[in-house]
Amino acid sequence: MQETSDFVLFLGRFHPLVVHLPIGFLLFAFLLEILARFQKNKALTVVVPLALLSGAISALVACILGYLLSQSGEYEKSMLDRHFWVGIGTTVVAFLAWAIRTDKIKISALQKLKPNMALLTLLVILIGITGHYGGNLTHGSEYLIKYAPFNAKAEKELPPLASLEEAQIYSYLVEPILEQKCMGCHNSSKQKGGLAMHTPNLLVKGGKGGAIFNAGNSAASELIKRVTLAEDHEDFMPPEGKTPLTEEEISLLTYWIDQANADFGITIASVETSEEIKQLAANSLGLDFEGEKNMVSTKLPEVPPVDPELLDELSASGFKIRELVIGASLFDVSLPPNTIPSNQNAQPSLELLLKIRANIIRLDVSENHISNEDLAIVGQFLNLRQLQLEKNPIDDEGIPKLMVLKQLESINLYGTKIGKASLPLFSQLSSLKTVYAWQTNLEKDDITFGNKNLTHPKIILGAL
Amino acid sequence: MCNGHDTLKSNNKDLQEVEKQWDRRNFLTKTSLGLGALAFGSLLNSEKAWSNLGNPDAESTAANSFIKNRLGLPHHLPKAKRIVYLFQSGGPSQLDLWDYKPKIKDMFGQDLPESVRQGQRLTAMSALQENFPIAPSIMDFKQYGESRAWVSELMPYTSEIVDDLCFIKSMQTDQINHDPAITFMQTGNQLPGRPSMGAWLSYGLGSDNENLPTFITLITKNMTGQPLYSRLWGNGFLPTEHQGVQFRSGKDPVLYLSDPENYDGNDRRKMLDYLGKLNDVQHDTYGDPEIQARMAQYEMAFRMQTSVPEVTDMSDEPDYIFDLYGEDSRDPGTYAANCLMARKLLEKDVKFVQLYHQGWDQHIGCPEGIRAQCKRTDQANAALIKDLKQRGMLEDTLVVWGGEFGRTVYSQGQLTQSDYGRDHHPKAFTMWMAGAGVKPGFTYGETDDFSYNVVKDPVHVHDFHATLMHLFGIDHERLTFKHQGRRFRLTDVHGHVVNDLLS
Ligand code: HEC
Repeated sequence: MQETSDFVLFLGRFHPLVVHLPIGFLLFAFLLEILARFQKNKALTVVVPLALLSGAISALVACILGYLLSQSGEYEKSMLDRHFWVGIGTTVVAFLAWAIRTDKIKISALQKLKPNMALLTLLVILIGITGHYGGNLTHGSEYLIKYAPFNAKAEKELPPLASLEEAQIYSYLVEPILEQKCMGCHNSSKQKGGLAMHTPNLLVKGGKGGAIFNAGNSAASELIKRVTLAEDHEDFMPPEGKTPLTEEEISLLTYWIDQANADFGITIASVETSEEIKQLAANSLGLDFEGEKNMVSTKLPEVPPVDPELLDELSASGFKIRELVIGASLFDVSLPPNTIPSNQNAQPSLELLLKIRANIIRLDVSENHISNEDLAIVGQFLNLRQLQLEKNPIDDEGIPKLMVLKQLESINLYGTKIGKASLPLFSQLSSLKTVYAWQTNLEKDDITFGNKNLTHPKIILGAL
Repeated sequence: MCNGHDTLKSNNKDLQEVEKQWDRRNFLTKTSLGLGALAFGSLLNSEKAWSNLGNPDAESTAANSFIKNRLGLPHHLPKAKRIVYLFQSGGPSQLDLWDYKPKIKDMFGQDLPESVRQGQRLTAMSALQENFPIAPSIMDFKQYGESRAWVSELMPYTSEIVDDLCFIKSMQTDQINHDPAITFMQTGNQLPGRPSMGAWLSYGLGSDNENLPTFITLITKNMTGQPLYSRLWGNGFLPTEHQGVQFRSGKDPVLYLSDPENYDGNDRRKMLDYLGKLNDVQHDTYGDPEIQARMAQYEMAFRMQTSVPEVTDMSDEPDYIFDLYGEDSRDPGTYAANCLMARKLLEKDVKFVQLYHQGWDQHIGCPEGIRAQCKRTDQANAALIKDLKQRGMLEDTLVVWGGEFGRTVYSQGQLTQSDYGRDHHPKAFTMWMAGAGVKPGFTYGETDDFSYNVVKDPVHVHDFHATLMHLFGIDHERLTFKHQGRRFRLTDVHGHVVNDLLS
């Protein structure tokens, strides 16, 4: 395809702006004509010719700019043609209406039909049609009626799956990603970069630069390159302002190209699939997946944002709050030792934190006179990954209250009174990797069986 | 008050001329500084850090409200919350400690093949040598732990903890002499003037404990060797309060913290408030950001009057802890005592504790010299790891051990059956890390049979820096500071995160 000069495109992009001028002028002419008729006020019709002429001329300009814009080759041919011809038609009729109105042309047959009104009505209809086709071109033909009450949700329903293994990789994992993040600009009517993704054939065909993936080799695939560039890179996809792909989504695309050879029918069962990918796939399909052993989802939980004033309030009551990933509203919260004195109940303090319980993924309330009962509150922080409870008056009776913390990876219980009874509980927490248990009632013999150590989780005792 | 010069007007014609000039000059300084201050204001990382200065309640309000990071950090979920960097100054011999090279055992005294050296730049100390006799290490090496890591007989304590360590055997630097190499290691550039790693972290992430400096340096006492300059923990062009604060090696880590005789210190708060007001006036007049940095330092010093004696008090450490770190740890200012102090500072959430231990520059008498060095440091290194681990702190504390470069396989000076010297070697050396986010019990990278060239997975100093920043949740390419018209970063225009090291 021939390259279009930048200047042509620059001008062309004024088309969407200029088109509103003829629409305004011509509708205004129509409005005046009607008002004049109802109010029997001839004076109103004086400006009709002017409105018609302005409308016609601006329509002509819009046509020219529209033609320039179409040179970008980003629009689907048949839809473009329709918009093109109806647009020209509208312009011609506008000039005609003006000519008749100002008696530049006199056709006696038409005079009788009150041609001004008729032509104006025709114009309004034409404008409507042109506008609609134009809208379809920019927004896609489903845009207008997508949320209409009569529109039965046209989304493709994929048949439900009996197991993760039988999911077709493309339709169940890849297509939804492309649909959500890319097809807004790469579809039947809008083909940015000459690329459409809504059918497998077109996806294979690629864009202006040719094929966008190289089956079996994601590293040499334009598709992967574009989404893994630095976010501020010119070629990064999706372009600035749109939500980028997450790491998980990129892994799935990579998996499809590398492991599934970018095949459109193949299922998870028939290709080599790592545990991690299975986990990601299960997450994305909303299926349960029991990994081989203590797989933890690496994905950060999505949580509601927190009111900054609430954070100030919590800070004022002694909590130290650090944001762990900027903008993600995930926090590391700690309470300096002995903020809660020994003669005071820790409950009110901990309850304050419940307001942001989903947002806390690391919590340190060590050395603060936390009791077994208080752990019932700690157990409500369901997204906790790291919990520091060391040097608190806690024993085996408190641990069952923490069994709901399914994301927990490490728990620090050094200097507490926990003992052997808690060991089986720890093993049940599948994501738990490490328990720190120095200076507790646990001893070396408790965690060795014969000469084998308890392997899950790791129990760390003292150095001596 | 200090605006007195505004009222200075003379009747004398000549003097009036001078006054006019003065005014113009004043105008220029004020406006330019004012602009500078504006620019500076936009660089501050914590929204509320300054707004309360000069206000009597500054301390309490600043500490009690949520401070949002203004630089948009961390970029991703951090694994490390704090770091202790055990800097072994002088360039420890990887050949006698970690990088076991059995194949050269029977090449004793042979000339190092040119194919290995490949015209590598040498220091002035061995460049004039006629030949380069291979000096195999006389140390006994064994494999330890489940990870089967090689460790020499010189590090018996460290050999017990290899399953917690992540060895990088393929470190590379650009520099061959001490000062540029150590400056490079600590600041990412061989020339003085760039901010050190700790200053970058302090600038980027702020403080976790308002009562102590974010970045503290401890140096082993009574050691000689290559000099250590304060710019190694300096702030470079970053705001001054991000520089490392050196604690003295000895009984009194920070001088003049206690009140002088016959002064109870009760009105010090008042005094500082008045001083703060005066400085405010000065700042309003001149807009010099350094005035604010100075005010912040006064306030920090004030808080350190209580926080430092508390954290440096060793009397509450039980005997078994001193036993763990070794006998030296009872003697303030030794490496072992500094390791113990480091743990206490980290417990208080000091973000960056930097230890320096000089004396690893074994040009002559390598076996004897390095043995003595290991005796001073080995037990304490291992103790620090064990101590952090049993307290659960290794979970989010990063420990780094290493020097500025490695040493040569050939002997500098006389080679005998029991003695050799080793010159500086930048092309391959060993470091280890442990803790937060790095793979435990793991060895990365390989050198050739002479520990001279890296043959697998090289890790350049820039890569090391990038990885370190990554562990703190920072994308090293995105933490920058604009200075003299250009954006600077710790890794300059280099560096790749070594993903294989991450757990
Ligand atoms: C906001 C609209 C928009 C979205 C959303 C978008 N793109 Fe694009 N895409 C473009 C534009 C404009 C071009 C042409 C300019 C260019 O090549 O950078 C393009 C070009 C491309 C090309 C190069 C085609 C070629 O051969 O030149 C690829 C590959 C691509 N996009 C992939 C994607 C992927 C994958 C996504 C989804 C993650 C996506 N795009 C989402 C607008 C978009």
